[in-house]
Amino acid sequence: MARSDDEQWWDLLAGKEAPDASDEKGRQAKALRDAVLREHAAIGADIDAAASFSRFQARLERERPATGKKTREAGDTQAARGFGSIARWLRSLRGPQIAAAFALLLAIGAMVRMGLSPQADFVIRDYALGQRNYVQVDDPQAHQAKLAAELKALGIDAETLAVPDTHGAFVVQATIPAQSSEALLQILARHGLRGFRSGELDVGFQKR
Amino acid sequence: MDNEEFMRRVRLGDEQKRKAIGELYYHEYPYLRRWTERLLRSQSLSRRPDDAEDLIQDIFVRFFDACESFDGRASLRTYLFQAIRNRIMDNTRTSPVTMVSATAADGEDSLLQNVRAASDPEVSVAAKLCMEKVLPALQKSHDAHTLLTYEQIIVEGRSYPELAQLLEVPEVTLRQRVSAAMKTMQSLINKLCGGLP
Repeated sequence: MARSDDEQWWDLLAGKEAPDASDEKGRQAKALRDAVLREHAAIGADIDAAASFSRFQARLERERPATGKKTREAGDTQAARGFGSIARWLRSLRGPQIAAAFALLLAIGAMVRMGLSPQADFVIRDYALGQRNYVQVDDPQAHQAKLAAELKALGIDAETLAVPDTHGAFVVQATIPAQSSEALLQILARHGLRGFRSGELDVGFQKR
Repeated sequence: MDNEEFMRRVRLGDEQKRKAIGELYYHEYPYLRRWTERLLRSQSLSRRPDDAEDLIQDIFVRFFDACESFDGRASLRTYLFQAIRNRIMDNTRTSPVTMVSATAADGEDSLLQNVRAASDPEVSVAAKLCMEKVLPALQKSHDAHTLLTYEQIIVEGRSYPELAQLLEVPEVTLRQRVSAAMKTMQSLINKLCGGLP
């Protein structure tokens, strides 16, 4: 049964074959299709979903503030406690102990520099509890997926955020119930972090 | 993210709901931005990408408030697309001045200029003629619904039933629209381009 002009035209515009259509109709539909596709591609050329997403998150937070969310102050308090312990330790030092402490700091500095392996795409840094730990890498999403998979292999249930946070980071979160194992420490070191003990693991991989 | 997974997360509380809405925004934004910008242009409301983004964000903020009552009859993408389209059409009918209107000050459509400037050898002479002459003439002679219908066929390759659901019109109306516009287009191509090479 012969198909109507409209059906032929629809198929041709959708990029399908229409052997029963005339050559002229085929040429017209193809030209129109190419023109519309070209315009459509031009409109989408400058779309930056990550930047727009950050602006949306900020707007949502402003216009519909979160309820029951862990406050920033809580995290700051934990961090302050950590710094307080270090400060108390430094104040307790006397005479030669101060020199030893400086030597220790220099050694830590050297170790940090050694963390800049030519193969690694990040700088290894100490984990800070009570806040998101940002690591700058070449491929944030690859690091996110790999860390989540490695944690899962250790039996740790990690949560990944499929979209970047407000700082453009791809996040991995997990609760580490007991003292972290050597295997976990090695995994974290491969992703640019060291010194994590236990508790809430919160890592954000940003584009370097 | 399918409808069920989305609704499951929305019901888990504010934090999970935010994450679900955020993921939805991130994944659907490129698609919605293209069509929103296209609709705003075809209605001569705005040619600024920022306006399209603002409108999409408005829709998402409202959806954040109302997503618990999302009935799931259409996909999330279709639902959001319809919400944007209805908002633009309502705006055109009721208060055309509330959005930034495209004025003569905008000059010639920069998009078309860009397209012309790109002397891409892969674009046929026939397609260039369509871009320069036929599409602008179509935008003047047809309503936004018809243009949207054509663009959805071409870009998304949708069938009649799919498109009828997306545009919320009976299939018969859609067929009449396509038929009428086809004749106009063919006549425009013949008139403006003298037939195509």
